[in-house]
Amino acid sequence: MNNKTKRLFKTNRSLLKDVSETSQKEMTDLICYLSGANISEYDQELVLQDILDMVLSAQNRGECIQTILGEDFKQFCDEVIANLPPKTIQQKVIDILDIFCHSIAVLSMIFLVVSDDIISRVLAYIQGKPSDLHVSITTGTFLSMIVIPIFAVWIVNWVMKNSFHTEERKNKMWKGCITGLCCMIAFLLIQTYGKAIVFTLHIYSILIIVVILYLAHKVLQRL
Amino acid sequence: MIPSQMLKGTLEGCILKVISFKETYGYEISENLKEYGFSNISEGTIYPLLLRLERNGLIIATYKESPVGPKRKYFTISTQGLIELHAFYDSWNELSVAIIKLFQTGGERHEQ
Repeated sequence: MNNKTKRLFKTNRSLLKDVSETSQKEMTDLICYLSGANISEYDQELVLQDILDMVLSAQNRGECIQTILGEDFKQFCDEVIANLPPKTIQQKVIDILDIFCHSIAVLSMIFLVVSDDIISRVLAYIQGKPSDLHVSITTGTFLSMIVIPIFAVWIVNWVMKNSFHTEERKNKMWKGCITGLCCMIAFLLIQTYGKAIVFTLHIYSILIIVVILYLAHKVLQRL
Repeated sequence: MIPSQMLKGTLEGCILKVISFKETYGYEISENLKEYGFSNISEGTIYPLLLRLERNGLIIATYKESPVGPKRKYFTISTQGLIELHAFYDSWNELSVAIIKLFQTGGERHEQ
């Protein structure tokens, strides 16, 4: 999120607190749905600013959110999104790279911390005792690094696109459950059969990679 | 009450006309339309149309401070918007003449 978008984001989140409790759920669903739309983050916040102006003005007049936006919020959002420019290919590439860098950096740290006796090996190294600081990267670890971010992005997108409580979402719930079950089975299989070591890396190399990926994420986030 | 299907295609032209009077914003546009007989045109109906008009360069939007908190979007008509408004009114006149002619004299030809 660049600075211009960040400022608007902060202003909007502060103004959201002024929305009445009866309209908070609708506003939350609206924000969630807009977040999953194929429009830039800045356009999302601009639309939210406009909607907040409409909702808070209506509140002052004693009108409810349904009076100004209608009963079908999904239809309203779809019409708004259809009249905004879609994300450019450049923006989509930046988003994908950002997710990739951030998730791999975080997952790498997690795998490092949970890998075999790494903490005791590091402590032994600090105490001057002979210690092997190489970490084995198995096929399971490798596949998990790919599958986990994809699955996480899929879940978040599904939640955002189905944020309005409609009959369609109820019917999709069973599909979501089956997909979740398949992913669990996939992870179990990966962990059970993915024990072959692909290569080993020194802990310093992993930490350097994590730092580089995290810094790349911070740079991409501001674009 | 005018059916929504009948309003589609004409509401944008009507919104352009209201904006051509003076700089205005969403709620004011819906109130103005009500005064002319357009009932139940909410801000939520107008807002996507305003986005489309802005995207097509027919209206210009500026943000100004508002009394309630968030900045409010005000609209003025552009030169392109004025051209489009005249074109809309010409098309509307052509359509309304044809409809009136059909309803008032259409049966006579068939009776003959």
